[in-house]
Amino acid sequence: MVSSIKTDDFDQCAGLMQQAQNGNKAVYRELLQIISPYVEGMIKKRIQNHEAAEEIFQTVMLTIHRARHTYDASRPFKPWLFSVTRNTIFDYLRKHRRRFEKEILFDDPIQAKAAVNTELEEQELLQQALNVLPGDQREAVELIKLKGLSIKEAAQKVGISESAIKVRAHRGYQSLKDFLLNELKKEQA
Amino acid sequence: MSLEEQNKKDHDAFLDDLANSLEPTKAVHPLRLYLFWLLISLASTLAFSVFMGWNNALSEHFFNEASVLVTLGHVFVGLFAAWFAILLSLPGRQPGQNRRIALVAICALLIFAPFIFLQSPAGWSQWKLSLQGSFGCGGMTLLFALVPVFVLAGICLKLAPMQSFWVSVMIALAAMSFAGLGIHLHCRTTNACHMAIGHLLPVFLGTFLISWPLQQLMAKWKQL
Repeated sequence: MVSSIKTDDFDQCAGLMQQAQNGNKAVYRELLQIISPYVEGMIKKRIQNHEAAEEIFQTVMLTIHRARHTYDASRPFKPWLFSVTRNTIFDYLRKHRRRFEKEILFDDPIQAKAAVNTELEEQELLQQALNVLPGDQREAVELIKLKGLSIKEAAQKVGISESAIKVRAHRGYQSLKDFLLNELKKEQA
Repeated sequence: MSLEEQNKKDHDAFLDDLANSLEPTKAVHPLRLYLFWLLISLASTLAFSVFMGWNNALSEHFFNEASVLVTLGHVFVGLFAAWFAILLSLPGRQPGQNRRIALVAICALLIFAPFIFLQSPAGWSQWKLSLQGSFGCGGMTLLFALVPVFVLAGICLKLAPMQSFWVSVMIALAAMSFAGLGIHLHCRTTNACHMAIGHLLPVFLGTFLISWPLQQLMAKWKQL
């Protein structure tokens, strides 16, 4: 996708940008239309999430708009565009590091798919383990570990003492651990 | 309307908005900006030296090997770092990572050069004596750097600084080197120990001190 713009197009872009610098809106609109696929291609190579990619696309186009005065028409257009796009993407990713951590790690779509599959399998296994637990233990584990409530909050919600909920949760963790270890042994066997 | 069509419509509307907000811009001349910075920095350094007290024994600096070496180092680093700072603010013209590291490495090497002239035991024995005046010169170097820092930072912010870290390091390095040059116009001491601690070390310390807030400013500026 990145290579969808030919060298001739980039040569043409240099001329269009020069006219845009003089304030020609129609030419500028044409230029933006031409470079959009290139910018989108560079973003999609790094980000799979559609909404995030659209957000970055707008940020990159805004940066191009703001930095247009730095383009020197006597120089090739591609390095200028590449530099603005690349740096803006990296800046954005750095700022939202946590959000995109997985996507940066799994630049390769096959790797990303495998990671998602593993995550789904793990979730499924955890759900199975929770279903095996007695009702009161499951409730304690879900409230404390999955919903993130404090011991006090969980105890109040269930209507028992703090020490009682701690005991239930502890028994639940033990049962979960046994179940998951068994599953692991089965898988290895 | 399908989601894809809606996305395309939003996409086109966004590009239309950008095109409609287009204003004519003036072409950027990096060399002119560079010369402008050089002129302002020279003028401010000279003015500041006169204000703080001109070094009447300036000729002594030219007969001292360590002093000449230090001066040349400041000129080299100052001129190159300022040019690099401007180039780093121009997309597509950024010097490569190796060149940037090389410049900082050369600058680091220059700090050790005066020590070559301190090999005699007599030279080392002057450490304590030279320390006293060095703090004053170090503080003064920071003051000398103020105008060059502000002017160069202003120039770079007007362009498009893409890598805040490197741009701010180069700005700080250029201004501090220039300030180190300026301190020679003010300070009479040609002792190599004093120059290493009072004239060269502040260049590095000041670079770290200035570049950090500058980097934050650049990052904020880009968000605006």
